[in-house]
Amino acid sequence: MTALLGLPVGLLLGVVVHRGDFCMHSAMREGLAGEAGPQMRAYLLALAAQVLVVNALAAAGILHVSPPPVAPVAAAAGGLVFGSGMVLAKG
Amino acid sequence: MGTGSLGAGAAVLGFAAGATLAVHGPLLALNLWVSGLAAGLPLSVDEALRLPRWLAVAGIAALALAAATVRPSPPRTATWRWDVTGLALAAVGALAWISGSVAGWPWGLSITGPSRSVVESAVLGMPEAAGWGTAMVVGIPLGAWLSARARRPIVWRAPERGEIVRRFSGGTLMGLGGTLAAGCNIGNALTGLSVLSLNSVIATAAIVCGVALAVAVRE
Repeated sequence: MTALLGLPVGLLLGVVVHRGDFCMHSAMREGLAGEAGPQMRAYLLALAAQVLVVNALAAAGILHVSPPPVAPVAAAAGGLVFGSGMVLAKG
Repeated sequence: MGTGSLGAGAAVLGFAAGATLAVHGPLLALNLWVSGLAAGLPLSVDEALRLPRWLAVAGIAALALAAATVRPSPPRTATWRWDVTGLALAAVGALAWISGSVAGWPWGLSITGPSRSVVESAVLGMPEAAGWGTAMVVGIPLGAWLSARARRPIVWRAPERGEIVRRFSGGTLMGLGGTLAAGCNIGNALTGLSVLSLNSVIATAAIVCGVALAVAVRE
């Protein structure tokens, strides 16, 4: 039943993505064009705030976080395929 | 997709199909083989750089904040300001880590694995695949739909057939690639980087390269 806790989190994410018109594709395109546009800024701020909060929670023992195994070739190849798919799917 | 764009719907269907194909099909062998190559690196950025964890955390946060604020703000748009969006996104991201940990989900926000679990539990007859991530990912278009409907009535917009095919294929590549890279631009670039995962650093850099490459080819 605790799985249902995911639903409100997803709902909130949907609202934020819609109201903020947030899109990782646009953020990366802005970044590649060398501009700190609104999407890139939103992403960077989200990353900075989340890295602080999550690691503070982990340091306080509230959250247990562990990075996944590293598969460098798969991560690089998969990332390339994903990125080109993003452009094709436009978003 | 929640605002009624059928083109975005095609991309989402392609994404779920690609993420499923990568694990339930002949591609699984390739996936496993590539995933085993050159393994054995340290798991996190702080381990790889031999830095104390707090210093790596502070460094990443400072770099990202500096990059976000170094130049004058872009003009206001009809949507939320970038800083409101960014903080809201971080709040949802942190909430996902906490909410997920209660349900035994060992990661924060993520799209690729959960999208696959929707197909597995709803189409492939594997109810055991459903979990916190499944409920979360189903909530995203619902939330966007509720948010869009609160503003104005939803108008369904259908693109041309060629564009539907293109967006579906793009989505399929995203599903295949996202599975191989153990996450998409949210699971890696946001969630994975927040726990300093080295795999996510490699995947994020590769995603940016993939975007640059595809843009160069198209232009």
